[in-house]
Amino acid sequence: MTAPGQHVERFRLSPELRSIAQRAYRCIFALIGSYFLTAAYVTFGAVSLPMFGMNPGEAAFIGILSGFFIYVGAAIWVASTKRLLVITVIVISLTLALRTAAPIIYSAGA
Amino acid sequence: MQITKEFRASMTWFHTWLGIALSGILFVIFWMGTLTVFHLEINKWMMPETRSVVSVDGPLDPIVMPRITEMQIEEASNIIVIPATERVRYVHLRKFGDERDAVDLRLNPQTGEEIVPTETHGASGFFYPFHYSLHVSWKGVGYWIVGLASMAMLILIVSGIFIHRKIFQDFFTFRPKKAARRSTLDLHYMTAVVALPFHILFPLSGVLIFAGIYLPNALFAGYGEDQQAGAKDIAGLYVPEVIGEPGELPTSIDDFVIRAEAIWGERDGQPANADIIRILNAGDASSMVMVQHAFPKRAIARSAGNITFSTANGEIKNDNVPKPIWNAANWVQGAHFMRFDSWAVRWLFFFGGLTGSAMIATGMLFWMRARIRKGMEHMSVRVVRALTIGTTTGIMTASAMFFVANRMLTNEAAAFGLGRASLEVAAFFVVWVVTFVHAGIRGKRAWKDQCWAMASLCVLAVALNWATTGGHLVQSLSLGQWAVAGVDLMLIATASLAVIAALRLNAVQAIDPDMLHSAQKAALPGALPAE
Repeated sequence: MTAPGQHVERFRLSPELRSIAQRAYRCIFALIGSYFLTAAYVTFGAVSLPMFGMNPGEAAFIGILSGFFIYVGAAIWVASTKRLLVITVIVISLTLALRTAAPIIYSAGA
Repeated sequence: MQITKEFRASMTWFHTWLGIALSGILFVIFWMGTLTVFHLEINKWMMPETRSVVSVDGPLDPIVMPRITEMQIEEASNIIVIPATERVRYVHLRKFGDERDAVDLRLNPQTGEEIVPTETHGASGFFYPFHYSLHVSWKGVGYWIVGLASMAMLILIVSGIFIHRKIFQDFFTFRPKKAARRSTLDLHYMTAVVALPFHILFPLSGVLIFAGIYLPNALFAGYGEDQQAGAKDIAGLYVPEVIGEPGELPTSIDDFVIRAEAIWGERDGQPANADIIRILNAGDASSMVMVQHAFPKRAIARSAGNITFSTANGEIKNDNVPKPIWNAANWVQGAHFMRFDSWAVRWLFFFGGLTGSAMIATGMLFWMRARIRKGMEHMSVRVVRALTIGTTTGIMTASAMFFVANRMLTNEAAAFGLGRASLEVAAFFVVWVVTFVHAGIRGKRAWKDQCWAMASLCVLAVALNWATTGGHLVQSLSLGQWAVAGVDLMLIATASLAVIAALRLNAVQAIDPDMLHSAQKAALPGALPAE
């Protein structure tokens, strides 16, 4: 219990430590988050392009090749955008949306 | 789109942080990859029994068929025959199975006599898998680390390009007489720009080769439940299902090879060679013979061409012609496998690998020197320095030790429950660990020490090769054993460069103000050149 008038000492990281933690998070999220986004994108491409008559193997390959651009672009974007929370939410949402859409599209095409 | 100051600043810290975190692993991958360019030649050096120069032309049947009919084939087995080539002058015959059943024979392509090589993993069994899996086999973690590092390399390249303002000017700028920190940065820029296409090609093609591991769901997503159709479509492989009834073994392999080569020759308008012959489900009624044309001699692109014949009646069951889009993948993968004939291109790739290693090492060095200059000689710098030394000169010294152990150990060598091949690997890892510890203790002086150690081990390896095989450099050259002579020459060249580096480090450490603490710097007014 805190007596009335007594200030609660909140745990806060020093600015230097916070900066290090943020940068470390950005680096890890740029590497790992971009990977999951790319994997979801390639899966989405692999199931959606055959709907336009493309061979599934070719669709997967085109997805993988363009996936390199998606991966690098996403990583650079994560590193350069100021608002950390916003980019985290956007990357995760996009990944989940693509992952959810892929099997639906496959079922529709099949 | 304009590149703002803020964007460039964010790319700078990203490049620095990612680089510091992963450059050690990247250097290991690049160094091992560079050695792997000549893995077949290093194999010859490490297995003197395979050095003889014999003609590799001739039919396969008299060489392999007696061995295949002798094999104990109880159930559907897979047998692989790799014909002799100019780079590997023996026929490799393997039957896959458990330890009792497995067969692994190297046969003289002229006489069929078995060649029993020195028990070693060689470069193909040690440096090669180190390059793509770091020998971390647990749950495939090694592949994932390498994959992640490769993608990080692409990010580092792109962020590095954004950081640069004068990329063309950097191409021509190297000031070795400037302060060590400045010349290190110049060298980092120069090695990055001069071989930029290689630095992009290597990680990209490496990741593409293992796309099945990194993107397993994505690759076969379009095939749903029918994964076998996916394997056939993507890899062009025809996989016969086991029937469970006994079947005949093929009576000839050459017949299938001649037919396949004729089909490819007619289709491509130039002679094509069979590189791998597989007897699938040998001993079963479903048995097939697959002839693969994997590595065209006159092209960088590898080939996915393969023809599968029925063993029973010779009927063609599958003739895989890669789809146009896969030709792009085959070119990228072929550029990474480097199994083409052109030695000029192979050497170009070798120097591309060396340049990449130099770029990574100079990046790490610059980071350290920048911090030391700021007087930040604290724990993080010491740790990074020890890791940097261990992953650069350390792994090079350990690699030299691998060569020494290969020539030093007797054929019967065994200790601590380890066989000869494992002892070589143990020697590598013991030396590598020692280099980290040594770097932690000796600090900056470890660079010089390890350069001397590397030079000594390289010279010792050449001397031991002479002593144990009688094959000194002049003899190898006169006998036309270019692979052996080449490895000896590379060891001598590495030793020479290590000596030059050690002597230069000696001089730099004596006068380089970058290496001194700020307090010491005060005693050297005007020592820092203006930048």
